[in-house]
Amino acid sequence: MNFVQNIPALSILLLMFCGIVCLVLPARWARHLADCAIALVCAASVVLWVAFLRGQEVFTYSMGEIGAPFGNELRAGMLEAAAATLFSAVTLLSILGGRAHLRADIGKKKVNLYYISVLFLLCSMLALVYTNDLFTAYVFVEINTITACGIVMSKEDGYTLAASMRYFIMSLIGSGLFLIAVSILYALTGHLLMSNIQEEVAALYASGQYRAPLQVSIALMGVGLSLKSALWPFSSWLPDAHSSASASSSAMLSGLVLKSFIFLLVKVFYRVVGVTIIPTHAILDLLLVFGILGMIMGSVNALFERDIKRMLAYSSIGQIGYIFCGIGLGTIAGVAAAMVQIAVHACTKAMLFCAAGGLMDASGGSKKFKDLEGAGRRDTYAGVAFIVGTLSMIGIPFFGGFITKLSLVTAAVEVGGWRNTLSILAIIVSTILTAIYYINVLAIIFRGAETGPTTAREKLREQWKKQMRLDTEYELAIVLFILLNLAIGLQSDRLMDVIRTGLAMFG
Amino acid sequence: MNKEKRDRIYAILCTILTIVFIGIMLFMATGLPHLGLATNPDINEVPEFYVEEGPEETGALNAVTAMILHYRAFDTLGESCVLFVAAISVFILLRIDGEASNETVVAIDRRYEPVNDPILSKTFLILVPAVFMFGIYITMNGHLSPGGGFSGGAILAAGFLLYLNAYGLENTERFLTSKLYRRVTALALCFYAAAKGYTFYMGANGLESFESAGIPGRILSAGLILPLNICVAIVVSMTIYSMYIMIRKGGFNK
Amino acid sequence: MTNVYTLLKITDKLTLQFGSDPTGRFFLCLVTIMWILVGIYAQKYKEHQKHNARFFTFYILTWVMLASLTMAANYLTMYLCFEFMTLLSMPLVLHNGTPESIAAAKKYLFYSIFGATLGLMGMFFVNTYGTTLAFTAGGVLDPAKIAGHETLILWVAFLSIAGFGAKAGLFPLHAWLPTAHPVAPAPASAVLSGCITKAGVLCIIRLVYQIYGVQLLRGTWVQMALIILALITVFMGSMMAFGEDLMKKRFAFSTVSQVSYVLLGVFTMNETALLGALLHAAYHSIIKDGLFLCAGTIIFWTHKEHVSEMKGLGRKMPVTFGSLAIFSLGLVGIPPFAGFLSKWYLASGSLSEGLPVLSWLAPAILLLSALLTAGYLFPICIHGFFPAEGEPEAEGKEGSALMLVPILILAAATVLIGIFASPLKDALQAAAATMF
Repeated sequence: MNFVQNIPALSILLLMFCGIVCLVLPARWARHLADCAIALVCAASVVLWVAFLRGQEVFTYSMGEIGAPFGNELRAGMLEAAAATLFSAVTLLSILGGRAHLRADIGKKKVNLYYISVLFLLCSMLALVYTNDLFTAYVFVEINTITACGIVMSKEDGYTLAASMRYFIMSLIGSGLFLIAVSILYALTGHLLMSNIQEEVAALYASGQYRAPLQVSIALMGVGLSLKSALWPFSSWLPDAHSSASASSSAMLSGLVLKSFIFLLVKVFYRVVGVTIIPTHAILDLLLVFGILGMIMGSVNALFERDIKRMLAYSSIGQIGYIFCGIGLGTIAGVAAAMVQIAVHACTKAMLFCAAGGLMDASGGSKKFKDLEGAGRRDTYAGVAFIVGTLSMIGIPFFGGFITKLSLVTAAVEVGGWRNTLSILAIIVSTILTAIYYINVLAIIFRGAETGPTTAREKLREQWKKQMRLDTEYELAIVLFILLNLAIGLQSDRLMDVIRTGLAMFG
Repeated sequence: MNKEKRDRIYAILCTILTIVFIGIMLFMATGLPHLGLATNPDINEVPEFYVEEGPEETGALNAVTAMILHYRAFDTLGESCVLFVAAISVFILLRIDGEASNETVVAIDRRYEPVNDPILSKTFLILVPAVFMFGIYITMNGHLSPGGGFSGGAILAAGFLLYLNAYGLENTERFLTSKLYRRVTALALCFYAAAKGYTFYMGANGLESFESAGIPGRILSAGLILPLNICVAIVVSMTIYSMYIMIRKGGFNK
Repeated sequence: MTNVYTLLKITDKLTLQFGSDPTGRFFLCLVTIMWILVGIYAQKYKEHQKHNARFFTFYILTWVMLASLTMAANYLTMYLCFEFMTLLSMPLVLHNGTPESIAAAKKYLFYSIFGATLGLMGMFFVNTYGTTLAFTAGGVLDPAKIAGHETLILWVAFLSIAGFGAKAGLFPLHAWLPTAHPVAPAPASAVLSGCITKAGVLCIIRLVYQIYGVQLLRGTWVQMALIILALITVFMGSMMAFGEDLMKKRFAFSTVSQVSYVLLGVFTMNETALLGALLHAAYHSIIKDGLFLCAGTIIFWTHKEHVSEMKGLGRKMPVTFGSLAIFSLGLVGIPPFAGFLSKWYLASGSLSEGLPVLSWLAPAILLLSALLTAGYLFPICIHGFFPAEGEPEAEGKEGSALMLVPILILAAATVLIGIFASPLKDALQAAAATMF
């Protein structure tokens, strides 16, 4: 066993450790510790990924000297290493990008609590990525739920409290359904490790025994995890939660938390139920139809919003619909398209939320469109980031959004039938609507007054420009985000290769 | 459509949905294996292994403790972290960081809580030490008899709460301050994470670790299980106490 | 396609490639010359405008994208340039900053992006069912892969061609043109009508001849439907122009109608018709740019935008109205001015194609439309030079050289290219031949 195989377990433990230590640290030290820990984990995940690119095989890592089926296990392949890198990189950039807002929004004595939540959030996401055991997945789903609500609540105003309450309740319903499903599966198969369960499930399907509980448990897993990852119509909690939270919290929630549950869902479908059995289950059709409806309804709702963070939140609902559409198609190509969209949307949406934070800063803290006029000129970094994000969302080649649409349409064409027609219609409609509301925002934030300020509103904007205080961390984060987006867009064929190899190792 | 009508429709739809869900679950439950039959799928080699190999390998006579603190220790670490982050979230939500003066807070507290009530004080004078002893006993014997860190910790927490209610904040905060809470909890969890991290690393890499099973039946046996039980008990009791103090007072005083 | 240069390789099939072929070179020369002439005109016109730096930046950037589009060697590059051209030309439309111009720009954006998305979907299908995305005469679809999916492919072809037709003003996606032209500054209207619509035309030519291929489309319902749409546009555009009093909007409807002449030739799918189409593209660019520059001159000096206000103005602005007269003669198609030859080839190409009703219906509608064109263009000059008795005469004066010289150049071109038609016709005949 070479050393890189320890990286999954060590990253999870390191984040846990640092999270616990942050309890006794004052704000500044907690901040530095969190930054270093997340950067270290990101670097370690890159090392692991490179090892896989150089030919390392998929490996399982038993926690303790007893392995499956008596003890806990982690499993890592190309896809998991890439996902871990993505999650840790975007977390780090989100924290950097929203730092100014963290200072303003969170009480001084509670800053270390916020960083504890962030570290445990990333820890749980990595554990969901690497785990090979259903019950461990459930435990870390719990940590994920609690810390996700924690980072929303940290900005203590009425909106966040109401939003996080709603988020919590709906999220817990999802966890509850997931737990029921795990219990049923345990009763039917006697195992908690995913690979073992897969064998038993295949045997049960072949023999036809216990068919009803098995179907129900797979359905419950699908619905439970969809509740937590904001599949329409289960997404009513999302706009409030993501729009009222602080900038870096919104970035992490929209970009990463939703995706970690989807990753777990794909893992369950692949490794617990099995690639051959899952297409026969009707849950995939349900996910497809709701995904398509989400694509359209998310965009339609975003069109009517006059508040930039709510608009971005509704846009997230639409983009999550793309992912579920890909999963619901039922083929490996569909899942590959979903994975690409996970990668692209994580980077783009996190960048857009950080940029939105910058735009709000340049407009006296307001989120409304009428105050944001010209904000893109006052804060150029945010303006450029919004342009890049818009081009990616519309699907212009050179940027990530194009490759997701391409792979999704290719996958849909392969499937054929009514699924193909509906998916393509939905992609067309949602692309057009997305283009409209994003370009609308661009027009607003770049509206310029080259003559001196005349109306009262314009004088106010001059004042905001003087009051703007954005720091180097924010600028660095935005620049890195833009480079990351461009990298994904330009290297999209390498990304597709990674995903395909990873999926082949996955099941 | 006005609000009342909407609420009523919502309530009716929710009821229907819940009844449908219950119906589906009941129907599904009829298809599950009957409880306790020897031919059930969940009676396979896994429980057999735990029951048969467990005591020798781990040194713990209590198979449940062996399982949660040795074989599936990672899950238990996760659960302890769940407790921890739950406490953190309660802190974020409820802790008041303002400058309420100490005297006012203590005065308000005294108004609503029993003050030097003789019945409570005398009863708890006898009861609280017993509760603490019992809690410690349960924790320490976790690997030999039913018990363990979780239950022991809950009993210890009960002791703390009884003491607080009988003798008041000032007395309790002579030893249970914010600093103590933070340091002790962090230490316990860090120890758990470090110890188990060491075991995982050694085990996965095929190296020998210092853990030894000892002689089953002795109190000082079962490798790391006893220290871990103590850690878990500390975390549980501190969490429950801190949640109570958050709800009652909005934070530790000192 | 010669001199192919690969800028970027995303995957084996998806590359950004540029190359030159006769048709592309023709369009490149056409738009560049128009862009320069209108640019010279704009140097004087800009005195009535604010934010000129912004205007000229996007003016040049739009040309860059348009030139790249003419040089695009495969479907992906063409789509990319098309989208960027839309985004970069939008600020030209909303340049004045009035609420109407912003609404018009949004409408332009919506229609263009809708069309481009349909085109993108077509690209995805061609990627799956075709051998390559690069433009090849005769089409790139793989017969083996298509077998069994013909209906799907025909629908995809129809929708993607109609989608790019949004930029060329094909019914029913033409509605942005009459809204965008009156609110945009005159130089912007000129290039919008004269050149940017030709981008849509070029995309359609590429799709019909070099992606889907004439073999696939000829004789199918797709061809019939597209010709019918073009004919509807031709007729409807002329009818709407006839009743319109706002001069720039009248010219905008005229563009809608005239560009569909070009599309009619493209959809008829034989060499003669294609030659007529390319000739008409050239003639229409020259004439329409000239017409819009004249309209701009009138607005610049007199602030009059409605035709009914321009009675007798010709006496005060003889050069402008004289050129207007020449352009009108050319657009109607009266020999020897430019405009006659293209209609001749269009009609003969349509007659020789042998489609059921459409073979004779097309020339008939062309004739009717020519009469309507006369009806909406000639009164402007006639009332300008010979106002009816008793009507008040409008005030105006002739403009500066910067504005008049481009107009005169275009007017001269209309006359000369009409008389000495052979060079252009031969060049375009060679270009059309490469498409089959």
